[in-house]
Amino acid sequence: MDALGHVNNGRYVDYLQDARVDFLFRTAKELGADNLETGLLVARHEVQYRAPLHFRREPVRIELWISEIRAASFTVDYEILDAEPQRRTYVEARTKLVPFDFAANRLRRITPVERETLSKLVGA
Amino acid sequence: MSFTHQVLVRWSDIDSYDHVNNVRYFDYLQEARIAFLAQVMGTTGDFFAEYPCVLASQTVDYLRPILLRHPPYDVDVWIESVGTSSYTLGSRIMDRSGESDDVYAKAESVVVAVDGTTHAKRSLGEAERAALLRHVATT
Repeated sequence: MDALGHVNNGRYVDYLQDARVDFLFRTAKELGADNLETGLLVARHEVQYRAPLHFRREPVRIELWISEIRAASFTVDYEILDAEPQRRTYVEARTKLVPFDFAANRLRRITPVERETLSKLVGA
Repeated sequence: MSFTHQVLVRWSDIDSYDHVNNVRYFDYLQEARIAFLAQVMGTTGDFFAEYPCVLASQTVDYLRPILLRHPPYDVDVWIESVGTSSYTLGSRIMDRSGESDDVYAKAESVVVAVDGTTHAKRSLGEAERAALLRHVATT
């Protein structure tokens, strides 16, 4: 909560990060892509704030899916919303991620295994 | 006027990749944005009490990793455009400690003026709008 009594704009990006890390480091690993967590950088965030979120006991829901896969980047789309049945949207966001090889200190292409795994999460 | 706010990286801003976590950039940008707007409007107290507003959207491009080090980074902020009830801020995180002027991140933030009580969208006041227009810059 910030001085305006609602969740501060940056904290939504923390929520998105928690969801994304779980999605890519756990779900994608279970599906076979176990190298993403060793080097994956955020290249761009786009965040649309639709409605303020105030303090409350109930958690909010974050839905996320892969929206695009390119040669050396992919995109995650998210929505922060109330669970069924209201489905009121608080935030819509998009993150472009690039696999990075820290040992070689350079960007790398998406491997065939990663591409196959990420494809299963498109629009999931 | 060109406006620059200096940000010193905190120990706790670093994540397991040994660089500043992407989310912390939002905090750096926010710190600079609020300092900029307070200066533009000439307020010394609570900026939001006098000119209530909320963020409608934000886009951040990450160009270089920010590392833990002592010289602070510079966050430049300027106004890109002013509408009837909203305005767009441009910002960038720079390193001016050495020879080069490297850009670490670029951001665009759309701010909407709201009523302090109801939080409904409001038109920008005349003085508010004039002050913002004086700081429009293109880069």
